[in-house]
Amino acid sequence: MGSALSRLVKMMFARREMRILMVGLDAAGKTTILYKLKLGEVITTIPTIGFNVETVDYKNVSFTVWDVGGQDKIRPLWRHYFQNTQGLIFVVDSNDKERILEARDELHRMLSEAELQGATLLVFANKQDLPNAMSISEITDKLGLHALRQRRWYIQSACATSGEGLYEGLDWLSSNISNKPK
Amino acid sequence: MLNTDAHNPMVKNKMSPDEFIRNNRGIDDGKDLPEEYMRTLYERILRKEIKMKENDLAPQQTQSMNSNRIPGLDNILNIVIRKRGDQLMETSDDLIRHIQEQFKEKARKSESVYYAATDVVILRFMIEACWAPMLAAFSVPLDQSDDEVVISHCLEGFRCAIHVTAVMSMKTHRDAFVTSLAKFTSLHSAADIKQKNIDAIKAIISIADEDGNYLQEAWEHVLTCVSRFEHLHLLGEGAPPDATFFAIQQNELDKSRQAKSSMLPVLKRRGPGQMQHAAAAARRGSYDSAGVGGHASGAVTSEQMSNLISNLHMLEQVGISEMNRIFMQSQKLNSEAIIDFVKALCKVSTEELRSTLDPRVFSLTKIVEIAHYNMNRIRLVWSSIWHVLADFFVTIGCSENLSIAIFAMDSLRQLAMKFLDREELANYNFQNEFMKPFVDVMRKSRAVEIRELIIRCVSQMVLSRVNNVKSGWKSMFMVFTTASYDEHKI
Repeated sequence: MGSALSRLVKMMFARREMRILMVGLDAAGKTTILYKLKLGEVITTIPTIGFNVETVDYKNVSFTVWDVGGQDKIRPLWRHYFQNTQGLIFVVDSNDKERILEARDELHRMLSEAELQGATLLVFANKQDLPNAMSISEITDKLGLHALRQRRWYIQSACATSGEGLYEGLDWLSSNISNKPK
Repeated sequence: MLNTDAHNPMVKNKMSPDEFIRNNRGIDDGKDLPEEYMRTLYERILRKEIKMKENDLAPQQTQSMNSNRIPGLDNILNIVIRKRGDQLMETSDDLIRHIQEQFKEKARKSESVYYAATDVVILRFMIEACWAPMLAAFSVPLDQSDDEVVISHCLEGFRCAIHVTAVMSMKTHRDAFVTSLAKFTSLHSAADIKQKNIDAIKAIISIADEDGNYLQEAWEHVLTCVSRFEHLHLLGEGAPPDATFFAIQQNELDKSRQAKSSMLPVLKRRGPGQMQHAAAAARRGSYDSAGVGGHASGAVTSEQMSNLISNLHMLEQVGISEMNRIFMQSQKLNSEAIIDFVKALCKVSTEELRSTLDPRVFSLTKIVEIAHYNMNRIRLVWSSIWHVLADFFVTIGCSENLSIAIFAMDSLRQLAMKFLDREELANYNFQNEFMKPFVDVMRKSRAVEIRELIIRCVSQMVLSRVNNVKSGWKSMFMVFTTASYDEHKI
């Protein structure tokens, strides 16, 4: 009985690990989100060339987040981080009406990759604090999220600078990612 | 299908000829193929397996085998990764041999010509095609694995990639590799440093050593690492002589920075006080924001603190002398590279000094050092180096923080004295150029103390080097003219 109990305790408190890939167009706020989660503060960032990788611990889940630069020149880099990715965070700038279609194309191109078939998708509609931000439903439409079949997805309004919505997003991810057997 | 069925040992029940015919009913546009033909086909496949070339299959097989084995215990994982690395290498060797053979075969036939790539420019396109997979291949294992062999391979990969991209002057790609490697040094969050991060620091040093001429703007990342390393190194040592030297000097010069001066005596005594100061460094930061000045606020857990203390000992593996070599070696850089180097160093130094709570003068002293090392370069190069440095000194000289401004002016004075030692050639006005920052700061600075200091510096120069001063007189008189208009009487 003792062993059964300890197993139960282990199950309750075992650290789960998740590999997350965070992508999006340039200047969407990926790096700011990453460090808001990691450090709890807003830092001044410079455009990411290459990537940032940080481990964020939240509620017994240790998220290894790869934040890969979004400039079009380095977008080819994204696909090389697809392997073993359990969760995909796609960050969109809610104010960037001109490039929302470009974002949609990149998103759908990515989701058609075989390596990402099992990955859950979390969309952060970032920069919601700005006055001209598109609404969640508008972004959902423009990104064509409803057309996604056989994919668990969720869109979360967020503001990286205040931290609003970020942990709600992680909550959703941790409860919707099937933990890979180790 | 029949091929797999007949030749794969895993299939227990083999297909009979009749079954084969039944399976292939109606494949010829709804009609059946002649039975005779099907039977001979069956016999043929059974006798001789249809195979791709052996070599093509081999890598796939080994890979799939390995990936099946990966979900094991962690230590097994390491072994598998190591093995996989070796196997991949073997198979890629095979692949290369295979391709070579194919090329030779083609060359023998008259219609195809074998082109030897004589132009290195072709390499550029090859890199453009494969830089992204390369970066991913080096970075993912480097982040995840703690295995020595894997890490040394990855770092070697980074070094080679930076070398090639730098030589080909592919800026974006080079910066992607350099920033990634710089992030893996983990110097911005010292509490997390592991052995592999130390190895990454070593890799950066060797890159600075080997590819210095091609790094251009990427020098900034390298020098930022050096600066952060030195910061941690000082903490690790407790109080090395040069740190106390700066501390005392700053103490004397500046009364307004009480916070700092009250901190520094504590640094001299090794012990709990050091912990306090080190807390700033223990705090985790991001690569971009951590700055090179360090923070003085923020909560630090005791766990992080003890991590830091043990990590500082690990840093001793990399000698500070190796770091200093980077600056010594600046003499060997070519004429363009030295200017990039100086620009980057000025940038890092500005960053160091910008921190209001804990400004550092490490790079500033290094600037004086490298200016001294490179004084013997031909005048054309020297004057463009000086152009960069002059702007820097003027900015720092007008800094809000008085002690920093004074320190900058003092550094400038040291350099000027050394420069005035050299005989000036006729018809040149380098001395004048050299003295320009004094004039600029004299005009711009709002602090009386700085203006006073400049006057004292210049008069000292006149007194001690009067025989060597030639075109410098012009600037000197400009300083004195500005001084005479000054509202504050001395």
